[in-house]
Amino acid sequence: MGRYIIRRLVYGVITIWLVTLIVFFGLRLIVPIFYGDAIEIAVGLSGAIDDKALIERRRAELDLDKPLPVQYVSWLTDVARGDLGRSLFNGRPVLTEIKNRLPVSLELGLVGLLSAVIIAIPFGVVAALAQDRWPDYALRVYAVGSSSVPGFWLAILIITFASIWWRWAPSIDFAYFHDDPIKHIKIMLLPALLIGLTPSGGLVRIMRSQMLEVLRQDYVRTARAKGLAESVVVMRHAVRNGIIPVITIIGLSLPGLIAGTPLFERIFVLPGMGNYLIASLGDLDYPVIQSTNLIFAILIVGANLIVDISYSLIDPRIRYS
Amino acid sequence: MARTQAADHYAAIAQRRAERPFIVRLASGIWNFSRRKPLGAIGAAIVLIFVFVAVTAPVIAPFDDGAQHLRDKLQGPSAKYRLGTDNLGRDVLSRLMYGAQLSLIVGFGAVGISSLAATLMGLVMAYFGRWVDQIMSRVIDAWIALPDLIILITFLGIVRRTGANMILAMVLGLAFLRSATASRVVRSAVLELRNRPFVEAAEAAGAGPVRIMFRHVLPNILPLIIVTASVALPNAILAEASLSFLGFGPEGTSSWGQMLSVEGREFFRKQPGLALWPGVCIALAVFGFNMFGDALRDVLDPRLRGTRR
Repeated sequence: MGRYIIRRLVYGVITIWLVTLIVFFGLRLIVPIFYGDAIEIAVGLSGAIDDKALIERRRAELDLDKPLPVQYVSWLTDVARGDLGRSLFNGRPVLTEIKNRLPVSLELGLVGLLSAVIIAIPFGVVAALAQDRWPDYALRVYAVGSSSVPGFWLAILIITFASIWWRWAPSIDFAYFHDDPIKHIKIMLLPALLIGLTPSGGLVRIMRSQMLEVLRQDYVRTARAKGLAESVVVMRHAVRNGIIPVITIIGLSLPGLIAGTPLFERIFVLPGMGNYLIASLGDLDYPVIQSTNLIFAILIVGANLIVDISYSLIDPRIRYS
Repeated sequence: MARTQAADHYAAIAQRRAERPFIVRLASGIWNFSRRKPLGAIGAAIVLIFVFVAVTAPVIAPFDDGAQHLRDKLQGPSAKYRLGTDNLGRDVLSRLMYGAQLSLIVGFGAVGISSLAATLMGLVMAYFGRWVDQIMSRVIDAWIALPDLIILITFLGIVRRTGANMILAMVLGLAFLRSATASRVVRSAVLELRNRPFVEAAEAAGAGPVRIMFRHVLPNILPLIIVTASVALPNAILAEASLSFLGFGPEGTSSWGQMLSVEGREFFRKQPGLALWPGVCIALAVFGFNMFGDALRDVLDPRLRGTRR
């Protein structure tokens, strides 16, 4: 068990390291083919392209005058010290920016997961109880539909038609929870609900099949035979047991949810990590691109890791190999 | 006795079936498939329609997708513009048709290339085993866990600034990220076949590893490769739509995702069809490929039931 966790951890670290390699060398090998480098773009935008001394100075700050492997090692040591550098364009420290933005993306992902579960479990139970009658068919259509209909399109439809019919539009000026809780919830609720819609379809299917299996068990028949009310049988005996495997599967959708946050941040103009990454790509802002990718990699790999480990804790049948 | 009679009976039926002309066999095959898998048949029909539209878009599209009719901006559906026009007066229907082209090019391109790469990697890993397998498997473990969408956004964001071909970049990026997952499937299938008598027989007959891999093992895992590819297609289409939506698609090419992008949002209020139809196309295409892929999987390889990717 201990060895299994250690091995998963090592793989996780290797994956994160792979991401930093791809992004770091991708940036610094591809960009110079077409432009000088990010510094020339940054300085060019500020109108001082002829100021050779300035360019050289900024290059030295970023170690861009040294060979690539040296640059990489020096970036890694900076990161290990907790220094993510400063944006090439506005000079703001990347770390402070990420501290403000990371909670927004995390909240989006986690509340999305919660909404997926809140939708999926009752739907799955109802579908199983009404097997092969119309509620079952309706929910099966929902399950198939939600995996085909892109969540970001639903968000666009809601915004479009809400503004036509009710003249309602989502607020574009963001408020943090500690500043204005009610406004914050108003802004975050819709995107968080919508982001959970895509994974909810798969969960409905799993919950339904689990319930069908449990409802056929002997102990459920016993419970019914001793005269318990149907609601008690379902809630206390069936759902409790049917839900266990579903809980283990729920975590699987977390990495996808986190990776999907940029779409919803873009639509609802939320100051999260995704929008930060997209904006930095427009300017080829090396430090920001590298750092956001690193954080996303840690988040997604971490989510995978937690799922794997909790699997092995919940279900001892999983072999640690 | 009864059993052999039954066996003879079925063999005779199979014989008679095989002798029927190709068209009849094809038709009865389709009929059987649609009876067993009605949803799969609907999916197949949707897929066929999309492929047809994509291939014939230059002929059947009423207008060129880039043609701007500036006098007819933001019109509703009419006889001339069946689904209306956008803010530059481009015909929405024509753009959707050309959008199907992009979707399918990216989808089939990415899945095709990754299947090829994955097959090669899987064969090499499973056949050579030992340290080759050890090292490659470890690399693939890390590769699979890469954050797909984030890496793609970053990669395409960098490529976009260089002015290189975005369609090609998108195809290669998607293919790179999928080949790891697919190679694992191939590897385990080849491992299973490796110890079968027919491989041993080929080895005993003096066939070299390359010949065994391509002539004996590959044909046996082909159905599996096709099935995993068909299941991956809708994901690639969705990825193309998402990336184009975020602004990382090819410029000057119609794309469903791009039609929904934030830049056009102010016009959706005036012409809600602009927000509606591209999404309908994405959802239908993904649904069609999903249903078709699921049915294909059940028919060709029931072992894979329940896996998705």
